[in-house]
Amino acid sequence: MKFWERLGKIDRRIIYIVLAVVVIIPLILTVKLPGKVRAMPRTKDVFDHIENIDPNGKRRAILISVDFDPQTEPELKPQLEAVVRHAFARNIPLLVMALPIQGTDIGIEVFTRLAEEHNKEYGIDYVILGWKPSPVAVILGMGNFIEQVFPTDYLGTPLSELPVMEGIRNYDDVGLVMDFTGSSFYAYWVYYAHTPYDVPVATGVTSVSVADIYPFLGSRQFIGMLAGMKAGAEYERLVKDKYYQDQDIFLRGTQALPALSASLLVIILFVILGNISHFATRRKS
Amino acid sequence: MKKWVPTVIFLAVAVVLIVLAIVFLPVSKSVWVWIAALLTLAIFSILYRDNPIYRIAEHIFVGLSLGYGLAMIWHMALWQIALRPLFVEGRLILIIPIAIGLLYFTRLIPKVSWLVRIPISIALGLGSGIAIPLIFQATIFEQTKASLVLPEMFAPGNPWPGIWAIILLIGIVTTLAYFFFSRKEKSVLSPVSKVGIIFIMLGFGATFGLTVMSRVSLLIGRLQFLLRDWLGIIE
Repeated sequence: MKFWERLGKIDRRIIYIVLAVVVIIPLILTVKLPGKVRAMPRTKDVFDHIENIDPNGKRRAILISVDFDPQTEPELKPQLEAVVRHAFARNIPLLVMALPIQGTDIGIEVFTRLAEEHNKEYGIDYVILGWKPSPVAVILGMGNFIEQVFPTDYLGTPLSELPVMEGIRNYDDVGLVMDFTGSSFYAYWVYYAHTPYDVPVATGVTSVSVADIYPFLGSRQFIGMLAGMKAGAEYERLVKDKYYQDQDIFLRGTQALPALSASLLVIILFVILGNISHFATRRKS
Repeated sequence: MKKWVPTVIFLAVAVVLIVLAIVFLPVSKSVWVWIAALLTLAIFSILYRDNPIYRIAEHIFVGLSLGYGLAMIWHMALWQIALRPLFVEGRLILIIPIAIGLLYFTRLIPKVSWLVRIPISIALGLGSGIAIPLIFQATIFEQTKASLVLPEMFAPGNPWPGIWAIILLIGIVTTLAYFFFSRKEKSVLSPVSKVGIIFIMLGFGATFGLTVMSRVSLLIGRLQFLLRDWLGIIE
């Protein structure tokens, strides 16, 4: 069997091993990419929008919807953590909710950990509203009166008793809805929050959804987008450079970026070799 | 080779590696991290081939997801929204929506199964009434507006927004022409639709690349968990 034929029939498990090695080595050796991580314009748009929110103004709150489950956590958690760090650094009140059931627990884990890191207090700086069934009814209802949809937070405390909710009644008091999703929940926020109530909406999505988001960016129905693990690293860099220059914080996306770049290079190589092998053997046959 | 041999070899190697890790590495002392790590490895074992360890992990995942979902729906939806307000707070008006919802179960009784049409028609009517105007506004009107090529896009010194808008417009028109099937084989639309194919292929290529990036990110995330949270090799 000739070289190219043999290459075309390579056992997939060898490819898995090569890929695992290529991912593990940069992680263990803490390889750093040459140059600085440069933020894409869509990532910068989200950062700039949050920068322009006045924490004491009318539209002072950010509503964060944790619409993902553990399957897509590696891509979306770095984005979520970076945005939360940014909002905490700027003292912006945060309202956290979830459209799928699992989102609540992910939100609780992330916010509890980061609030402790940033000395933020539950009920004063942020609130976890929790989950309610029927996304359409939830999103539309919150445009009228948030407390009508979530009379209590996830612990059962009435929202009217929480200082963070003071003066926050509906989307008119929200400067940004930030949706992190591994499915198509982003569309719900465009259809049922931005379209009828004109509230600014941005989204953090997995790389696989990026192509579906672009039409909404062109029409400015989303003010910006965080695309996959890469955007998580970009946002981490923006936030670290501005607010945490002297602090040693764990940047999940930044740590993963060299491994991501190396593995993508290897996959490109495999695609090229596979194509050469295919055409070489086809010509022969 | 017997079918069970790879499984036994995998288990033996896993046990040896775990013992070595405990002895030489600053491994996590959390039971939950250990459970998550071992289940991750069990799921990864499918990459070699189908085996009982993978199937055990798969069944645990399915059972756990279902149990978690049911418990959450009971606590955060049924109890909070329906049962507690009705039975504890005495809000009798809730009997009406609860009764309509319960009509879904009439499907199980053939004689009165026609009653299921009531909640279905309410849900369908309400859903369509809310969705159609808003989705039309968001996806047809707004998107059409966004595809317009306007003179102000060609600002002196920066004509790029205008050039992108023209390319976008060509992409929209030619792609739509490709999906216009009721035309003659050699009509005027044929060359236009061929340009559409180029745009469609570019779209497929971008989607494939992004999908690969997405899947690799998931692998990295899991390996980050194993190396950082479980084994403590990386900081």
